[in-house]
Amino acid sequence: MLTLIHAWRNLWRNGRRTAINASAIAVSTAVLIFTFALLDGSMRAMERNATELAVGEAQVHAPGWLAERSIYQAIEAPERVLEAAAGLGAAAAARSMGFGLLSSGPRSAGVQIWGVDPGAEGRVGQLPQHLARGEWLPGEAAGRVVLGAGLARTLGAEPGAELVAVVQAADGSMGNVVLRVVGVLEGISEGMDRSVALVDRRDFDALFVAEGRVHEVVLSSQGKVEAGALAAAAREAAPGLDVRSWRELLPVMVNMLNIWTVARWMISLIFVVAAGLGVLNTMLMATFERTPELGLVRALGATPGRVVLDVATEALLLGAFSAGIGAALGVGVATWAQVHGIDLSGLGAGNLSIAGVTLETTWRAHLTPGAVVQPVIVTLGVTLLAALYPAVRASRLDPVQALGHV
Amino acid sequence: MNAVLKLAWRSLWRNRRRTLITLTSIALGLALTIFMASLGAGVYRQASEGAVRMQAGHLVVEHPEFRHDPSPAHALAATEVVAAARGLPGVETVRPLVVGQAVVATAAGSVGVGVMGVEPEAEIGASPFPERVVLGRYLEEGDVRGAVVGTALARRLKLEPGKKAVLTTTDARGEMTSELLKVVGVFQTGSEESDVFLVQVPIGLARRAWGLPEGAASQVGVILGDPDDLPGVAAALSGRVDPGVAAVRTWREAIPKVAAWIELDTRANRLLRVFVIFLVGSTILNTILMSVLERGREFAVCLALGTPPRMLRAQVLAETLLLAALGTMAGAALGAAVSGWVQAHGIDLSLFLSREEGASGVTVGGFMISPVLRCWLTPEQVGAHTLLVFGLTVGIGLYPTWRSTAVPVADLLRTR
Repeated sequence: MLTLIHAWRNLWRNGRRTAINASAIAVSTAVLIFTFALLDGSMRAMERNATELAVGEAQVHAPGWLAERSIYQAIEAPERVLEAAAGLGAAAAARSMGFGLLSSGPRSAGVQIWGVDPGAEGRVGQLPQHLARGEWLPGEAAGRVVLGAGLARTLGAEPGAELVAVVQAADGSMGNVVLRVVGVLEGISEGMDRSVALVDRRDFDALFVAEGRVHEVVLSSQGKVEAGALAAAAREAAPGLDVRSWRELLPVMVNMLNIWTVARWMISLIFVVAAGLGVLNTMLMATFERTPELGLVRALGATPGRVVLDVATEALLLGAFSAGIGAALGVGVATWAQVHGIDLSGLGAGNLSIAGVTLETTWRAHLTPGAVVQPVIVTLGVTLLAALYPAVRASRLDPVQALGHV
Repeated sequence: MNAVLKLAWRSLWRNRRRTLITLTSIALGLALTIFMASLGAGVYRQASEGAVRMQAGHLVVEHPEFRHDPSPAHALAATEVVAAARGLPGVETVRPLVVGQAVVATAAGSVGVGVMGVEPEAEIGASPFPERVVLGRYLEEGDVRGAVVGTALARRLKLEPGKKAVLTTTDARGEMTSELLKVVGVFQTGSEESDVFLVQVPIGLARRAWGLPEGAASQVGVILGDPDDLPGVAAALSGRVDPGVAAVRTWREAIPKVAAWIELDTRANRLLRVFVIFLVGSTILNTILMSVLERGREFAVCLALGTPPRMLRAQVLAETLLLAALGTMAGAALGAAVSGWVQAHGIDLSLFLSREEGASGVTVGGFMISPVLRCWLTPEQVGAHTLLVFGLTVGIGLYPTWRSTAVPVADLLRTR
C-alpha cells in the first residue's frame, strides 16, 4: 500500500512528464480499440452478406444434385425437412430449380429458373429487400417473374415487360410460357445478378411439369444457431439427404474470409507496432531521463530491487489509469461508428456508384470484448517493459555515476 | 547559419539515446505508412490486372449501345479498329471478341452459359485461360468447332476433351440457331463465375451462331504492357475511332464492380493510413516534447550565459530539421526496402486457403485474385509520405522551439 501511495505521489512530482506519458498511452489504446472494432465490423459485414442474401445458413439437397443439377434429383418427401426445420426453430424455404432460355424479342439468355415460395424467402434471407426496381412476387400463380439486374440488362427487360420462357420439362416435352417481369433484383451475387429468374413455385410446376419436386431447402435461424450446428441437426433429422452449411457451400467466400482474417492480423500488427512505438519511446525516454533521480534514491539507501519495484508500480499505475481513459475514449468512438457508421463516399450519400454499380459505403464498427481487452493488454505490457528496462539499468549503476548521468 | 547547424548537430549527439529514440519514432512511423500504402496499391493492381485480363482488356472498343444492351445486334465492324489499335505504342495485344449468352446441352442436361468467341493466337499470353487448361489443350488456330469450358461446367454437363455438346441461342435477327461444339480442353481459373459460366469458342463459330458477318466483333479488347499508360492510349485510340460507330471505354466502365470495390477499399485503406499517421504524429510529438522539456535546465544555462533567445530558438529548430531529415531518410529507405522485398518475393497466403475442390482462389466481384500479396512501390508514394512525415515532424517541432526560450531561468538553475 505504501508503495502505491509512493508511486502515486511520484507520478505527480513531474506532472508534465506524466501527462505526456498518459496521453501517449491513452491515444494508442483508443486508436487501437477503434481500429480493431472497424476491422471486426468489415469482417462481420462480409459474413452477413454471405448468409443473409440468398444462400441462408444451411441448405438441403438430394444427394448428387449440387454436382449435376438435374431436375430429376428432387428431395424425397420435402415436408419432412420443413417440419424438421420448424422443430429446430429455424425458418425454411423450399425451392425448385430448372434451366431454360428466356427471350425478349431478339435478345435471349440461358437462365436458372428458381421456383420459390415468395413468403418463405423473406424469412430465410433478404431477397425481397434487394429489389432495385418493381415489386416482389405476389404469392400466387400469376405468371410473374423477378430477374437479376444483369439478366434484365441482357434481355432489355424492365418491370412490365413480357418474356417468353422455353424449357425442357420433366416429362420430356418442351415447356413454353409467357411471363411478366414484376421486379429486378440487385446486389446479391454476381451469379444471381446475371443468370437467375425467380417465379412462384406453382408457376414452376406448371412450366416444368415438375409435380411438386423440390430441389433445395434453405434454412436460417437468423444467427440463433451456429451454421455448422444447424446443418448437423438438419442432417440428423433428414437422413439420406445432402445437408451443407454455407461454409461448405461457398468455399470461395470462406477463402475470402480467411484471407481477410490474415489481412486483418497484418493491419492489426502494423497498428500494434505503431501504437506500441508511441508508448515505448515516450516511456523509455521518460524513464531514462530519471536516471539521476533513481541514483539519488539509491544513494539514500534504497536497494536495486526497491527502485525497480517503485518504477514498475508507477508504470502500472500510470498505465492502468491512462489505458482506462484511452479505453473509454476508444469504446466511445467505436460505439459511435457502430451506430452511425463512417461514410467512405465522402459525399454523405452512403453509397458509391461507378457506371451503374452501387456499393454500400457506410463502414460500421463492431465492438467485441476482444477489441477492447487486446489493446489494453498491449499498451499495459509495452508501458511496463519500457519502464522496467531503463529502471533496471539505472538501479545497477553505481549511485555516483547515476547521479551525474545526463 | 553554419555555426547554428554545427551546434545543433553536436547537441543532438550529446544525448545519443534521446536522439536515437526520437529518430526511431520518425523512421519506423514513416516506414510503416509507406509499407501500408504500397501493400494496398499492390493488392489493387493485382486485382484489377487479373480482372482486366479475364475480361476484354484495359480498354474496350464496342458499339455505343452495347454497354446498356449487350445484344448480338450491337456488334461492330472491327477490322479497322483492330488495325488502328495494333499500331499504337504501349499496346501489348488486341483481341477481337464476340460475346453472348446461350444454352449448352448434352445428354446430361442443359445449362445457360456466357460464350466468348476468341482468336486463339491473340489469347496466348494475354488472358489467363490458355495457361489455366487442366485437361486437354487450349483452342488453336484452325479449330472450327473446338470449345474450352470451365471445370464446374464440365462436371455438370459430364464433358471432357473429345465430347460433343450443342450450343443454342437466338441470333441478331431473333432466329433460334444451334451449333455443334467439340470440347478440346477444360480450364480451371479458381473464379467460380468463370468455371461455372464461361465457354470459349473460336470467333468464327461465335459469328456464325449470332449471324454476324466476317470481321464483326461485339468488343475489341486492348491489353497494355503497362497499365499506367491507360490515359494516353485511351486518348490516342479515341482519336482514331468514329464515336458514332464505336465507343472506347476503360476497364473501370467495363467492369464497374471491380472498379467500385477497388475504389471503396482504397478509401478504407486511406482512412486506416490516416490513423497510423495520427499515431506516428503523436509519437513524434511526445518524444520531441519530452526531450525539450527535459532539457529545460540546459536551455536555462544557455540563456543565463547570454545566448540570445533567437540563437537558441534557431538551434532547437535546426535540431528538429536535422532530426526530421535523418529520420525520414532512414524511414524512406527502410520502408522502400521492406516494400521492395515484399514486391519481389510476395507474402503467400495460400496456406490459409481451403483445399476443397473448386475453391482454389480468392475472387472479387467474380474475378480471381492471387493469394500471394505483393507490394507495388512507386517513387510518388515514397516521396509523398516522406514529405508528409517531414512536414509533420517540423510542424510538431515548432512548439518546443518556442518553449525553449520561455523557460523560467532562475527557477530551473536553482533546482536539479
